Amino acid sequence: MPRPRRLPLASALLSLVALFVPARADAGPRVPPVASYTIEAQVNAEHGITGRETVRFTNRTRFSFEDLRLHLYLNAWKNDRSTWLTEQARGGGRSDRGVRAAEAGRWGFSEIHRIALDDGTDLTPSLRYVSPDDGNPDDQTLVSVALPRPVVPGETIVFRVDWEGRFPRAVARTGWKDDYLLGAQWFPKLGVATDGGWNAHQFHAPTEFFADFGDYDVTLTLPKAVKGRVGATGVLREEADVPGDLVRVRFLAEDVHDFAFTACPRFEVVRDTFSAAGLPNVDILLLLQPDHRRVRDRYLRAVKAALADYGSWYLPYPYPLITVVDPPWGSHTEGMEYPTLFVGGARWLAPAAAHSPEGVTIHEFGHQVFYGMLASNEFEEAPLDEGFNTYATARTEMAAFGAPSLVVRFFGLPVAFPSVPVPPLAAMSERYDRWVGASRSDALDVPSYRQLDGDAVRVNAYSRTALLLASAERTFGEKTWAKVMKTYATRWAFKHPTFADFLAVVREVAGEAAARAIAGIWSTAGAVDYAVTSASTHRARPLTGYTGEGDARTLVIPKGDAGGWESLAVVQRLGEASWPVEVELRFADGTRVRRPWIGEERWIRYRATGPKLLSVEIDPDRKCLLDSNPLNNGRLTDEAPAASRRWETRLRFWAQNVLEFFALLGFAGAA
Amino acid sequence: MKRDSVLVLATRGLFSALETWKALLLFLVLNAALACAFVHPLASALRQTLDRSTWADRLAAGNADLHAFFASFSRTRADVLGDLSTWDEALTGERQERRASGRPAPLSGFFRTSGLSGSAVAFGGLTALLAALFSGGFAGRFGAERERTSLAAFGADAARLAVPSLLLGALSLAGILAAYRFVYAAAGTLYEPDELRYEWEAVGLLLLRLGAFLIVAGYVRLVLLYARAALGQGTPNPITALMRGLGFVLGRPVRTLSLEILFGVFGLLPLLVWLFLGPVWDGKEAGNLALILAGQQLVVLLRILTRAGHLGAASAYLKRSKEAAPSPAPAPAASIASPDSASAPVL
Repeated sequence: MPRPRRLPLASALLSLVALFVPARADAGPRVPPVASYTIEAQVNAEHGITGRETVRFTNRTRFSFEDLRLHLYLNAWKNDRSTWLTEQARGGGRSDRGVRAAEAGRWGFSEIHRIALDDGTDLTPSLRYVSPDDGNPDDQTLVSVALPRPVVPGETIVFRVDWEGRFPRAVARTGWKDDYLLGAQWFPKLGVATDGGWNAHQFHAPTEFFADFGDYDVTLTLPKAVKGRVGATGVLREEADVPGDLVRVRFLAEDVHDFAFTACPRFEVVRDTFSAAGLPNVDILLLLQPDHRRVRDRYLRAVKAALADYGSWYLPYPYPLITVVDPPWGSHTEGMEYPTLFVGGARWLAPAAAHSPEGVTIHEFGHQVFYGMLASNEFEEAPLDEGFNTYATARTEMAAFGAPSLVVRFFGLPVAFPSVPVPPLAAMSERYDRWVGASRSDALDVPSYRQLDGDAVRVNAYSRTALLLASAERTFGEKTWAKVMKTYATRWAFKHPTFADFLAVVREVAGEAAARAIAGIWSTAGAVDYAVTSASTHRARPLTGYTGEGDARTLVIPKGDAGGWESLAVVQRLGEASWPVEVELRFADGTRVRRPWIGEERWIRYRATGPKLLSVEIDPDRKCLLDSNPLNNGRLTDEAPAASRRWETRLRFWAQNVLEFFALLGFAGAA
Repeated sequence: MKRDSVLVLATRGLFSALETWKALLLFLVLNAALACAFVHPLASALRQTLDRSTWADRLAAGNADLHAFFASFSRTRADVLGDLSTWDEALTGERQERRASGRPAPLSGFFRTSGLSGSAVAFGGLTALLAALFSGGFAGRFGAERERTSLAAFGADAARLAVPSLLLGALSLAGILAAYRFVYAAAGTLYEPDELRYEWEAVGLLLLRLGAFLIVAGYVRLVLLYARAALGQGTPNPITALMRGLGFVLGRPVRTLSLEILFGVFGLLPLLVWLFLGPVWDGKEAGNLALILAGQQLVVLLRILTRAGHLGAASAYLKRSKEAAPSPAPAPAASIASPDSASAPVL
């Protein structure tokens, strides 16, 4: 179980704490910190950073580390040769984003001036950029710093880093837009210490992060204009004016693996509290853009729904505060998560039917569990946070708000079609099916940062995994699956789980068959596609010809039919992957016969005699959401043209109007 | 009420158009035939997909599975639908994802597509061609002021004015496309929506661009409309007619635009009424189908009537202004009687 916590320094600062943070009576044991940071940094009006950090690293592995590996993520936007921008240009990241400007202020960088052990030993001369993932000599997002002697298991070292940097115009995840700043991935940050050495990757366009748990004590000096409008990981402990029209803020956070902050003089500060039986109270701080006032309550309802559902289904939120950031238009920072703080995203005109910002709020909050507490490796196993969380988001969204409807924006003005529901998983299915039809480049078990392109990473991480988990829930039973998820979350909270760990939980709770089915999907790039390729029925023919032997041999030439029907149906597995399904044969007398199909055979032929066969359908309850072509899953023995006629009539009418429009467009005057 | 007030002109135009009911019906038949041909591949694909599918029941029952069905259908039958993204962008104004390498050219996408989205350009062009020929007929009949019901006279006028009509039509098309390219699309390259501080600024600019395009396109249409009316009233040279149309519209920019807007609303109204109130056939009852088809055709006919009515109104306006203008000598244009098609052989 996660541990609700108490802030440190409680005795000395108890009265001050009370000003900002409601006391928690139910504090629990702490996570042994691996990498803790004390940071003092100043961010100027030009988005430059000057900082000094003291890092306390405790080696809790069995490995002796001969160097330190530090991420300098902001160098992803240092120049267009970086691995991030190279990958983004070839479709690795969101394609609508890039640094497309000659202005110096739009690029970012991070540079270590000095790194030294706490005894004064200068490590700076040994600093070198490394590119273990792609060998890109121009990438400077990861450095190695040699140590004078290895850090052995159980040992703690302390080192200091003086650095400077600059936030880019936000392209993804971090940076500024106008007077808004999202400071994320902004300080030199250790990789993850594992029994096999450092797990530290370069910054890649389509993937995210991985870090060790620790405590953060961060003091920021910012322009005074943002006073009272700064949000960050953890809780605000101090805020004071500083000469030079500046403000200094200090945030403390425990048992987290990252630290992000945001500041904007336009933020409207909204406070609320979540309370629900059986779950710890949580303060909510919403930093809202003034043009999004109308969605204020929708943000709050969504975050409360998420706190309640994720808390009861997976893990209670253990921190005292959650900060929700509403980013401004065009910031390119929407939809990102950091410990105890996440960035939502809202439109100026946001019809309720679209479930935005509700969907993104639930999703980004959900990362407090699937990333924040279940700190999987996002570089290598992005599905474990994105896919698991997308599945969980869909559940909460449907439970709290129902299915969103189709919303189309015409020249920026949204038009909702309430009669056309688009459940969250339907949208996932659409993306997945399109990718399956076009690419199928990578299996889920390929390290995310090594997959072909951004589409592969996104579809695998979000859509495919979410559909897999939802299919498992439907196939193996809601209760069983809820137990799987709860056990996994509880067992691996505040650790670094892998897919193998999850699979072990599935095997233990849901059984070998479930584990085999999931592992099968995980390890293939292939599609699941079942089809009824034929279904026919005809009057049963009585026996014709000789019967019997010897004297009893008789020639039978029947005059009528035998009564009853003979039916034949063939189901085939057209895809490479399989998933356990059922096949339903529906007969004219109302009988429905269901046969399980583990799905591994390439085809099965069904024969039936008796009442007339009406239809054959694979997976009639639509439990398997991974089927890439659900249109071929069912077949009728007789034609039922009502639906196609209905749509044909409508299509013709709309075509007439479209052509009439062309007459208007092209030629003034008649018609 | 003034004889050249917008409402009087609109009413006169609509009544004039009603007198040409045979031609209107003919155009409706051609429109329906083209529409049938246009959607035939899609309708066939729908039949292939649905008629023996268990999805048929779900879709016949309601819209709950509509999105899932069409998402799968458009993916599995991409050969039939083609790439709809360019149309989607044009019709919604929502910019597709911009690549770091730059934006796609605004018009090129329409000519690269295959399937239904690609054939829309060809069918649209064909309809526009027909409309141009028909508009010659309408202009001739409105100019002649008699025998408007005669299909033979209409045909003779359409044939007589075919070349100038096509020329004016081509100019109209070029003008509207140029307005799209150089007013709407080009204005979009002048700013980055994401760099604006607020979304409402981006939406406002988008709507401004759209409004500017619609006004320019509207005036292009108006100039060509009045030029066409002038052709019908006996101005034989299309260039002269064009100049006359231009002069007329420039001299009365507000009233002519008011007529354009009024007829635009008239044209949309029946469609919107049908969209919100029109029944949907269940695919089973033939009697209901007949009623629904009749209703649908009435909607399209009303829209066609509106277009013709606008030309009728323009013709009446042109004539009225000529009559109202002080003329020291018999006006040459008025003295040239519109060729009377009564003498034309009955087709």
